[in-house]
Order: sequence, then structure tokens, then C-alpha cells
Amino acid sequence: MITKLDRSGSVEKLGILLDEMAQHAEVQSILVLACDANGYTPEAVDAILRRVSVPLFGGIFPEIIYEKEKLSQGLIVAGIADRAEVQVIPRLSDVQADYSAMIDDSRTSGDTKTMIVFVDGLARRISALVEALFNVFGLQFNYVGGGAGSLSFQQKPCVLTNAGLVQDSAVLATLPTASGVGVSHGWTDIAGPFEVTESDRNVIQTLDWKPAFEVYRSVVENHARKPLTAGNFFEIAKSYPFGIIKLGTEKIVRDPLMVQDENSLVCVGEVPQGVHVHILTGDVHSLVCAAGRALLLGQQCFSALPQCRTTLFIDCISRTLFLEEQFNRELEAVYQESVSLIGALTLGEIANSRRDYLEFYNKTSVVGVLEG
Amino acid sequence: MLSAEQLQLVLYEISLSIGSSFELQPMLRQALSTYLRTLNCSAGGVFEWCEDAQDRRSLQAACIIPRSFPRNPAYGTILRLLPSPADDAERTRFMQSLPLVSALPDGYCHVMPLGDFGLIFLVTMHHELNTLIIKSLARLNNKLAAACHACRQSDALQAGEEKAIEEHRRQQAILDTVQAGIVVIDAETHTIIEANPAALRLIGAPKEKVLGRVCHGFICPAPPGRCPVTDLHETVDNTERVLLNADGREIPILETVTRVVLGGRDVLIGSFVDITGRKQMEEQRRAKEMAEAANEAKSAFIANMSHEIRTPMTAILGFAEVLLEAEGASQTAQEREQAARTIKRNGEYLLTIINDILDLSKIEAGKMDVERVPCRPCEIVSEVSALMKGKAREARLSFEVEYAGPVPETICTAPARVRQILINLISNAIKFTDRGAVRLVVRFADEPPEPTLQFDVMDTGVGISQEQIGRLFQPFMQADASMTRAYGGTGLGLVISKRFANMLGGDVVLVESQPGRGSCFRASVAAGDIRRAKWINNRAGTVPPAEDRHADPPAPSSTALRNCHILFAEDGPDNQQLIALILRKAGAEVTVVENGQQAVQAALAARDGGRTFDLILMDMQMPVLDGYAATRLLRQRNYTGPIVALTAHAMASDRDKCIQAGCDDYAVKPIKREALVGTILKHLANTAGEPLLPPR
Repeated sequence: MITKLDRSGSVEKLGILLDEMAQHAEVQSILVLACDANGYTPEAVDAILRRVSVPLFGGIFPEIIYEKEKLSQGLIVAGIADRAEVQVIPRLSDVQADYSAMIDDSRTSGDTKTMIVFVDGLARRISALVEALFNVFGLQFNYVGGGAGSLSFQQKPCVLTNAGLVQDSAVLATLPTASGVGVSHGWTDIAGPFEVTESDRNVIQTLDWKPAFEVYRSVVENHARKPLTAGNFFEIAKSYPFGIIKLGTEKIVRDPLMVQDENSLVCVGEVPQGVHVHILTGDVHSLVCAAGRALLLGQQCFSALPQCRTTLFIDCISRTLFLEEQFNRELEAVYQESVSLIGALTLGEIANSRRDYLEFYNKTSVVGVLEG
Repeated sequence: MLSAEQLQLVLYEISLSIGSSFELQPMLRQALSTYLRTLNCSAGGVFEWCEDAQDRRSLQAACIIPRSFPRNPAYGTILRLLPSPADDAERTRFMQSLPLVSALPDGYCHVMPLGDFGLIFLVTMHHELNTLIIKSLARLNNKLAAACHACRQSDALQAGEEKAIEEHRRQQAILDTVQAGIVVIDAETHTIIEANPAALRLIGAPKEKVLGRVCHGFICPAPPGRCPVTDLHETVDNTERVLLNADGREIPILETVTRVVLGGRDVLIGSFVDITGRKQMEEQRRAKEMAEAANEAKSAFIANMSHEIRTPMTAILGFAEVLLEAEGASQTAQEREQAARTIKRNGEYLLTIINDILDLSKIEAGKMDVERVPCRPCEIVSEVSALMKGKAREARLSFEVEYAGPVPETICTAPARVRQILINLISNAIKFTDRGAVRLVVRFADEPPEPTLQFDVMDTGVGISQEQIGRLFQPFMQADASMTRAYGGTGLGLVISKRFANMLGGDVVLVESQPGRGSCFRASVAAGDIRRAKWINNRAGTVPPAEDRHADPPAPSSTALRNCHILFAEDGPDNQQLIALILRKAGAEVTVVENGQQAVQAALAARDGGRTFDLILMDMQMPVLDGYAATRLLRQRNYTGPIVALTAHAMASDRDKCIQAGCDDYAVKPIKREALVGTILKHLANTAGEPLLPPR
């Protein structure tokens, strides 16, 4: 995989890098990871994206990772030697959308080994899409990807495709590229279980038939020893995600973002009505260990030649917010000498190593070890 | 590994996911996804027991997740676990072996029963679901099976509903497009509960103004309580009826009404088509047929008249020729007399025909007046009887008159017309009877609307069939054409009689008739005011002595008009010669002129010369100046001598016209010698004494 970093993240540079990469003889597909701070708009970049002659996919994230560094501005353009089959799934917040019907499974073949998925992280039916991906494709290949978007939590165009910069959509790229995927988060229970008695997609309304915020605040204030209000919600809640019970693996983490209508909690990713959740917390050590574990699991699943690989690190932006200055320890945990490391700090993560039910995660480290 | 508490939560979540929909596929996808997610399975599916055409039970995939899993080799391995449809014992053994766990190349397949619906399988990649989980899932699986059955029933219901909806749409489409009007009416309340567009078009009102209305007086002319179907229990099946439209106009329809129970409601379904066009066509056809029939009848009548006129004419002309040739030949006086009498009889018959035609023409034109005067019915009967007895005798039939009960001595009617009616009926009876008798029964009938005198004419003749009865009393028709040929006659007698009877407040009807056994016709005429009438009980039917009308009246004496000078105005040479001869033979001196102008000149000249004619006999239709004008002119010139009109117009109105012109009397052509002489004598006498006619 050929990777190029531009720290300016300018539109002009985007065009130059894409043109160069598209003309590279060994490049069949292009992955683009860009920073929200670059300020890309469809008006500015669509023409550039549309002139790219090879399949293109990617996203705009709060921050991106290049080697052992996270950048809040700039862009990474990665040229992949395999040709990707790319499809864009729109209407990612539409309750009427039937994603199983919208996904075209004829584009995959027996050679497909990996699907890289980027979604609008602030769309409201990401879990439905992920469930549809599982219902259509199952575990016939590895999945790795995450949610694009802005930490402003304002939904805007953030998914990069050959058609342009789009919003409320997902881009699916299937590749014959071998991969191994590891997933781990390092969060542990402090309270629960609580039944999600009422929810609307990514909004938890009641837990055990009580206002969700009331239940959550009671636990968190007791643990954090700080008052929790709508005003300081994210500052404190970033350390106390929800965990959905899952058999045989870690809990599925759901990151509460804000309080809505005084009593409901808005999360990144759907929380189905009827599931049971725990309130989790973590520390620097557990999170850093989880990142290292994710790398380990990814490597264990990778069956290609070890000397020819790239690490794609999809890490939740809330982990950086939680770890703050300690975040570089996570980067060190997943960095390997002589292996390219690129990645993004995302709004939710998508991963599967052909073992577990496909899930949309929050606050989780996902390491994709890619061939090439 | 799940703790017991976590397992309970997982099971709870799975339980909640079951039955989220009444459609099988969405319900199974939802539940199975939850199974897979919470139990961290890589694939799963539900198989359903189905029966093939040979009633063999086999397992068919109802829902598989992921969709691509059937392409996975592991799926083939799972299918091979399933029993063969043909082997019941194997199927039983297989179901008894459940739940089972089977190793796959890279995982495990867990197969569990779903009640009697089928089975569920779950595939895990790296962990085997332990026995506790499998056992714990059993109750959820039963719940899922029940939900699957519920969905299938719902599917069946929905399919039934869809079929019903489809059927409803189909019926609606038919109702909307069919050209026949269809209405559905509540049989109890008679409110209209449905009407298709064709019905609304015919009714001429929108649906909202039709539905809910009671049909009586709205679309059906029958009043409430007189519904042909529900009240009168009539069968309305392709029946011609009338539909009232919104404007109250009556539209002829062909209707069928069926009474059925729909949805527990007793309703009438009426279907109908507008037959206005057909009716108009029928009317036109009927009119055309009537016109054709009338033409045909008139043609037949003309042919018949031609025959009836030519026959006596043949006799008249033939015998006249014989008489002419007989001059000087060896004809005896008796033979000559016989020839002359034949000519006279046939001439009289011709006159009868002409009178009939004239009568009918006047009746048909509405110009026949009848003047009712007090008269004695027994005298009329007596006169008719006297006349008809002779005819019956000639036909070798007996003729009897019978009075059934007392009759008024006097009634108020037109005696001549009554006489004519009776003569017609009795003549017919005699004509159509070969042997036996003809009877006239007279009775008084005090029946509403007014008392009448009834005359039953019974014969033992050929009779009339039912088919022939329909043609009776039709102008220009006898019972059938063959009768005309066999018996002769114009067929006008019955028609004229019926018309006269109608004009006299009565009728002529056929009381009964049997072919071969005879007929009975009844003529009736209103009796008028009989409160002061005397009653005659004339059971024996005695009549005054009959005058033999067949006997010729005595010829006037050759001196009856002696010394009488008559001015005779006539343009026709034959009539000039004939009438002048009659007058001269009666002793008169006759001056003949050829037109009215000559008559005026001659009459005034004679008066002015002091030699006034004793009488002027004035033909009314003449060239130059006709009789009417000539008479008026003479009266204007103060000519006071008697003027007797001579005309071929035999109607009363013609007589009036002559009198109004100034004539004193009226003689009708053809001239009967004695009548003419008698009339002249009467006026000659008046000249000497009192005038015959009242002053005008």
C-alpha cells in the first residue's frame, strides 16, 4: 500500500495527491482519510473526487493517525494495489430504508476478503446498516471501518466517494486484500444491568422505565463524585459509556453524547429497545492494553506474509478525549516498526474478524492488519 | 462465558424480539438477528415443515441469516443433517434426536426443534453453545414456533383478505363498467344502498343523492306497501317496467330483481337496461305495421268493393243489354219483366253498398249526427221482423222474435239507426247460417251507467273462431278474407252497427260464438228517460202484421200530375230523360232546362208572363249555375213557387243545405218513382193549402 500524508489538508493538495495516486501504476483503488479541520465541502472537493479514475473511498474524521502521530489537520491518501468494488448506501437515518434490499451483494465474489466501511457517524441507523451487512454477507470476509464526522456533532457531508462528498450515507469497499482484524475496548462494568425499556434508534429514553438521564446521572455522579448536568455532560460521560451484553466477547460499547429533552440520552450508534446495558468505565491502563490486544488479535487473524502489511487503526475519538495526553501510549501499543500505520479517530467503529456477530462499536480500538 | 444473570438477560432480550410482526419474514429476521447478535452466532436459520404434492413432509428454509450463507459449504453440511422427505421413520428419529450439536469445519451447528413448526439452527465460529443455553432456549423456541404459526395464520388471513379485496375490486370494476344499471335495495326498508354508474346515469343523480333514498316514488313508481317483489310477490325477471328518473320522467326498462341475503342483510338486487330506444322502434314498427295493415285492409276493401259493385253492375248492364236487344225479338213479357226486376234489385243492392260506405265515412270523419227522438221499440222490432222474415224464409231459415221481460213502450233513441243496426245483425245472421234458426231476443236492462234496451241476435250458423273474433268490428274486415269470398258483403255492417250503437249510448258485442254451432251478437242502445214510460209485456213477440217490403209499391197513376206544369233543371241527359218520362207518365207537362241559369230565366219569364210553373224540380249540381245558387237567386227575385231539390247527396246535412238555399223539399237520387211523385204532389197540395215545411 502506498501512503502519502499532507499536513495542510488543502483542497489543492487533495487534488494533487489524488491525481498522482490515481496515475500510479500499482494503484487500483484509493483510500482517503482526512481531517474535519480541513474544511472540505462538496462544492470544493466534488469535482476533484469525481475526476479520480480509480475506485475511491474514505471519510472525514475529527482526527487522523499517521505512524505514531495523530493529526487534527491534514489528509492521508493510500493507494491500494487491489481493485475495490465500491457502493454507496444513502438514507442512513431513514427509518423506512431497507438496507438489506439496498445492498448489492452481486459485487462481491469468492475472492473478496475484506470490506472497508465508512459511515456518517452521526446518522441514526448505523446499527441497522451493520445488521443488514451481516444479514447479507455474514462473516464471509473481514470488516473494518468506522464513523466519519465532526466532533461538533453537527451532521454534515463526511463520506468520500467517487461521486463526491456525501452526508447521511455509507461507503462500502470490498477488496480481495487479505486482512486480520482485532477489536478490544478495555471498559469494565460499574453498574447494571439496566433494561432499555424505551428507545428510538440511537436515543435511550428510559432505563428500567425511569428516565434514562436520571438513572445514568445517579450512577455516574456517585462514581465520579461530580455533579452531572446537561452542560458538562460530555466532559464527564466520555468516561462512562454503556455496554450491551454479548455472548462470548466483550460488551458492545455505546457512547453517550448528550442529553436530549432533559431525560433522554443520545448515543453514537443504536441501542435497541429490550437490550440490557451496563454502565462502564475504564482507565488509561485498561484502554492502552485493549489497543495492544486489538493489534494482537488482528495479527493472529492475518494469514498473509508478515513483511508486506499496513496497519489500519480505527480508534474511537472519545478514547483520545478520555486519554488526553496519554493517547500516544495507545499509538505506541499498536505501532510496529517497519509496518505502515495509518488510521482515523472515529465516531464509532465497525469491525469483525469472521468470528463474532458483526457490530457497530463505540469507544473501541479496532486494528486492521492489511496485506500490502 | 455468560453468567447465569447475563444469560437471563440475553434470553429476555431474545424473548422480546419474538413476535414483533405478524408477517413471517420480518418477524423471523428480527428474532433471528437477536438470537445471532446476543448469542454471538455467525449464521442461523429457521426451517419450516411443508407438504409437497405427494403429502410428504419436508423442511424448507423459511429464513436464513446471513442471506449469503446458503453459498457457504457449511450450509450444505447442515442440509445433509435434515431428514429425507420420503422417510417418515427417519423424520421421527431426527426430531427425537433434537437438540443436536454438529461440528462444522470452522465452528458448530446447533439444531433445535421449533415445536411442530420446524426447527432452528444456530452456527457459532469459535464457541459451542453449552447445554444450559440450549435448554434455556427451548422455551423461547416454542414461543418462536407459536409466533411463526400466528404469522402463517395471519398470512392466510391476509391472503384471504387480499383475495376478498381483489374480488371486491373485480366486482367493482364489473359494476363500474357494465352497461346495465344495478341497484341494491334493502328489502325491509326499501332504501337504496348501492347503485352503479350506469344506474346513476339513468337515474340522473349523483351517488350521494341516491344512496339512502327510499326507492318508492323515487326510482320506482310503485307506492309504499305495493313493492312488486316484497309486497305483491311478483316475479320480476326480464320484465318490462318503468324507472323514474330524478326529473320524474318515466323510462321504460327491462328489469330483473333478485332477492338475496348479503352479509346477513336481506336485499333486492335490481339490474335493468333502458329500452327507450327499443320501445320507440317497436312503436315505429307497430305504427308501420298498422299502417301497412290499414293499407292492406283498404286494398282488400277496395278489391272487395270492386267485387261487390261489379257483381250487381254486371247483372244490371247485362240485363239492360238483353232488354235492348230484345226489342222485336222473341222475348216474352214475363222474361222482360224478370230482367227488369233483376236490374232493379241489383240497383237497390248497389245503393245499399253506397249508403254503407257513406255512413262509415261520415262516422269515421265524426260527422254522423244521430237525432234521438221518442219512439216505440216494439214498432221498430216489428218492422225489422217483417222485413227479415222474408229474407229468412228465402234462406229456408226460421226467424223468431222473443221479448225477455217487459220493455218500455217508448224510449228515446234514433229509430232509423236502431233499425239499421238490427237489420245489419239479422242479415248477417241469416247470411252466415245454412240451416236452423235466427232469433231476436229483446230485453230491457236496468244496469249502470244507464238503462238500455238489448237485442240479442242468435243464429245456428258457422260461428266464429277465437282468432277471428279479434278481427271483428275492424273497419274493412270481416272475420277473415275467406268469408268475404264465401259469403260476400263489405264487412262494414258490423262496424257501422257498433258505431251507431256507441253513438246511441250502447254497444254491439259478440256474446258468444262457437265454430260450427252459431253466434250471439248483442246490440244495446240507451233507453233514455223512461220514468214515465208505460211497460209492455210482449212475451209472445207479437208484432204488427208485416208489410211485405219486397213487393213493389204500386206505380203512381198516370193522372196524378195531370194539368201540372213542372220546370225540370238537370244537366245529365239520362236523368233528364228518365225523370221527365216519370213525370210525364204521371200526367205532368215538363219543361226541361240544362243548368241553373236557364232555370232562373225560364221560371222568372213564366212568372212574369203569368204562367208560373206549378213546381220546379232542381238538380243541385249543374254547370254554369248550380241548383243552390239558382234557388237563392229565385228566392231573391221573390219567386215563391215550390222548388224541390234533387241531389245525389243523401245526408241530413245535405238536406239542410238545400233547405237553407231556399228549396221546399228534397228528393234523393236514385229516384224512386212513387216517392218523387208523392213529394211533388205534397207540394202541389201545399201550394193550394198549407205549406209542408215550417217557415225558416
